[in-house]
Amino acid sequence: MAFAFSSILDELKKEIAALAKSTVTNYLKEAKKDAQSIIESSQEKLERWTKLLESGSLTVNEFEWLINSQKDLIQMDALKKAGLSKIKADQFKESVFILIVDTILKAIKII
Amino acid sequence: MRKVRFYFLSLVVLVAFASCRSIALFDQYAYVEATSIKVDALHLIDHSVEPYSENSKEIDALNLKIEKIFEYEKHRTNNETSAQLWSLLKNPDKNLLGGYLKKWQSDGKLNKAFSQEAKVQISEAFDIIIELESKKIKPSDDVVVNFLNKQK
Repeated sequence: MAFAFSSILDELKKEIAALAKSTVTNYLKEAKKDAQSIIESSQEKLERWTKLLESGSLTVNEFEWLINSQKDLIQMDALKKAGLSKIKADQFKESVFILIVDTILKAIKII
Repeated sequence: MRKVRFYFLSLVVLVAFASCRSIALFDQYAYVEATSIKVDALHLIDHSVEPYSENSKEIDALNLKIEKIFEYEKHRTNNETSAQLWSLLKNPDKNLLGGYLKKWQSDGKLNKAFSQEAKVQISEAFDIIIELESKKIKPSDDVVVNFLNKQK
């Protein structure tokens, strides 16, 4: 059975490029939105804690504790983002493999 | 012959996937434990305006649950990120749940305004752990397995 490998490869290249483009675009959009939300949330908290400090509801020690907790939360968030990137990478790899297997099986008319 | 070829190819693909996954799949037990421990922890924080000694039994029980889930997470393959998250949350030298319980113990009891603000922070820390777990690929959503099942 003679296979038109060059046309299969061309098709695969096109489909993988489109898949990569949509994966990266979606991920960048989500990451940008997430980063913006952390900045806004940190700002709101800082304003609220400053008011509580000024009114005497929080001590300096408690205020500092909360500031440091925000720093730790940001560290956790960075780790979560790293984890989410790994999930996206795995999903991308899976899609590429499926694409390859599907294209080859169709070409050799197994499915 | 074609069928044999297909199954051989399928096997190769499966083996390739099993060996190259960069993060663990979703785990129902890890997810349920994280949400359950979150509820327990936030409930306990509401009691931190009371003396630590009056709640020491509940605090010990919570710490034990956290140690158990941390051990579980630490030993799952490709699960370093979730284990690191639990490690930060429980660390007494950080300013999240571990640090909060340490402060409660050293101060005896904590003031209402502070405990309410810290509760928000600790709740968000749990949400980070829960969100990561919930976004991991579910075994039922594994596209490779689904693809192969479709071909049978």
